Amino acid sequence: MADTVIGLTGIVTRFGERVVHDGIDLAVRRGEVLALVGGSGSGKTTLLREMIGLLRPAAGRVTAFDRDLQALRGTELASLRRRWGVLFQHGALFSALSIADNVAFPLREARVFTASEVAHLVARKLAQVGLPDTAAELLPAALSGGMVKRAALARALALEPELLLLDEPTAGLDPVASEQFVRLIRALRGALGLTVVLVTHDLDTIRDLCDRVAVLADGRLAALGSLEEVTAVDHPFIREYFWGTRGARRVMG
Amino acid sequence: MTLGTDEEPSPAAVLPWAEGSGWRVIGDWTLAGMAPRLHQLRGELRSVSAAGGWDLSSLTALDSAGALLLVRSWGGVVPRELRAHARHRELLDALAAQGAPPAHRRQWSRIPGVTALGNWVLAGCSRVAEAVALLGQLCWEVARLVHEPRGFPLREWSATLYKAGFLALPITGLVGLLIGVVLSYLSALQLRLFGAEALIVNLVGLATARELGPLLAAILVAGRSGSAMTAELGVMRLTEELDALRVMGVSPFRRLVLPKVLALGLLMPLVAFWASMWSILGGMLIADLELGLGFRQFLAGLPDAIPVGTYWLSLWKSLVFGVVIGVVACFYGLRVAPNTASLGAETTRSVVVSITMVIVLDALFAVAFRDVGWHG
Repeated sequence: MADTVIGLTGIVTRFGERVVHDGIDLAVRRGEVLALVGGSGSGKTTLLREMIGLLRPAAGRVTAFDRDLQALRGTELASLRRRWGVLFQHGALFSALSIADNVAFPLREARVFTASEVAHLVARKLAQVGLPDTAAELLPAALSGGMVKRAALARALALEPELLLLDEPTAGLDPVASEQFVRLIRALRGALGLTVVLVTHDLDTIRDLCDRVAVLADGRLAALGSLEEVTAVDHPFIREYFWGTRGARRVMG
Repeated sequence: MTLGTDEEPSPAAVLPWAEGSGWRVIGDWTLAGMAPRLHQLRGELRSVSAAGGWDLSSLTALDSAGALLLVRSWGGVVPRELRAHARHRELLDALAAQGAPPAHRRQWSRIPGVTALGNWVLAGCSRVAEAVALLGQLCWEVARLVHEPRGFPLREWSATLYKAGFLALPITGLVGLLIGVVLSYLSALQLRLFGAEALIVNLVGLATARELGPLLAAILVAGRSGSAMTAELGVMRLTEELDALRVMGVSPFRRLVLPKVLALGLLMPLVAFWASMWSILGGMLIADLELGLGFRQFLAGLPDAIPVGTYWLSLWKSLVFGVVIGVVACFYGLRVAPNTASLGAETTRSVVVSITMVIVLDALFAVAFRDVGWHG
């Protein structure tokens, strides 16, 4: 299937005795925005980590860009990894480097740009995510939580990834910043045909941005489809999640 | 470098534009598409003149890396005669509007030596002030402890005793034994020359009990536990755990610093004594093997060789060493700035400073108490 960017088949994950995923099949299509939804501890982040090969599932197969992730080694894996950008839950910025150096890091690692080109691209990326110039020379510790998220997004976007994986991108952002973030992702997607997988709790983000929603509950995929399709599924978790008072307001709104 | 291997991107190129005196840009102007021949592309772009028309309408893809190359070759301005898709144009306009950032200029001082010296002195002064503040706080906590002994974090204190003291026994014992062996072996050779074999008891006994035991123990504990304490406090600062303690009304000094310092003060004399014992054992073994001086004879000579004052001296000395190691470790731990590089730097500093201070103090002790603990 050429239009599948990431394919998960029969994923089983165990942490000791605890079974987190019990046979998950999921295909991320090229160009879509897919939201991973689930309660706390339902293994959303774990699934995201398995998609990019940071974590190996106990059973099952993961393919990325039609390659078997488990079979790849060395340079092949490295070149595959340049095709996706990851925004970690807490940013994972290098604390000893300034914001500008953090964003420049992958650009310098690619070893194709001159120093002034790197500086220009960094300025562009920072402007793109809405970070002021004054933030560029600061260390991550001097930034607010929302600004850390933006800086981390700028770093994830540095190498023009085809696939963007976002772990709770709008958590901790104020509504204006979340709105900007949604608009930014939408714009990037239009310009670059970006595929996006995001873990989120924010129903506004899901409604405004996502083409499909995958709901994780009890170690399985409880539902997969558009927001309307998913909310129509009769499942206790879905009822609670989307049809609680707050959820219903957002979904209907 | 291989980027994007499953679909071969069409190579990026600049061609003369047939319709006029302009240039046509074709192919995949993305990082993946350009990477294999980025250098040539730069050259091609440099060789064409920015003036004239540019046709970008047959570009297959353009990302900000590609756009950057084009905009920079145009001198940061989008040419007036430009054919491009609306979204490509948007990207180019955005990059041109961005402009190249001003080169980061480093501030050079006209009198670098003087500035550096000034900064160094100021940093030194502020560090001394911080250290004094820490000591003051510590004294205050000790005073409060005397006043209100129930608030003492006993578990933390005993945990430090166990981790820094009990768990250090094997290594301090081993090092002590080996030092005793080396010392005894080397002096045995010399003493035999003078026929003064019996003096080995005095030499080994005095050297280990008075100097080597306390010093070895202090150096090992500083390297083993001082560094761990600095790192522990540093990470707690990074992760805002110290702030969490403060908002719960628990003083980090009382909860973390005080028990560590007091535990080190208690365990250092014990560990030092332990290390001395093993050194004497090592010395005794060699004295037996090399000089034929039996254990019984050696032990009988010990009380005469090491008066009890020497033991008292080394016990008090070790107590001071322990407190100093604890204070230095906590001081640097609390100074860690919220980044990983600082954590490493402060831990290094903690170990270097505490070992240096221990050796300096040892020299001071040797001079100040030169009349203590001898016979006659």
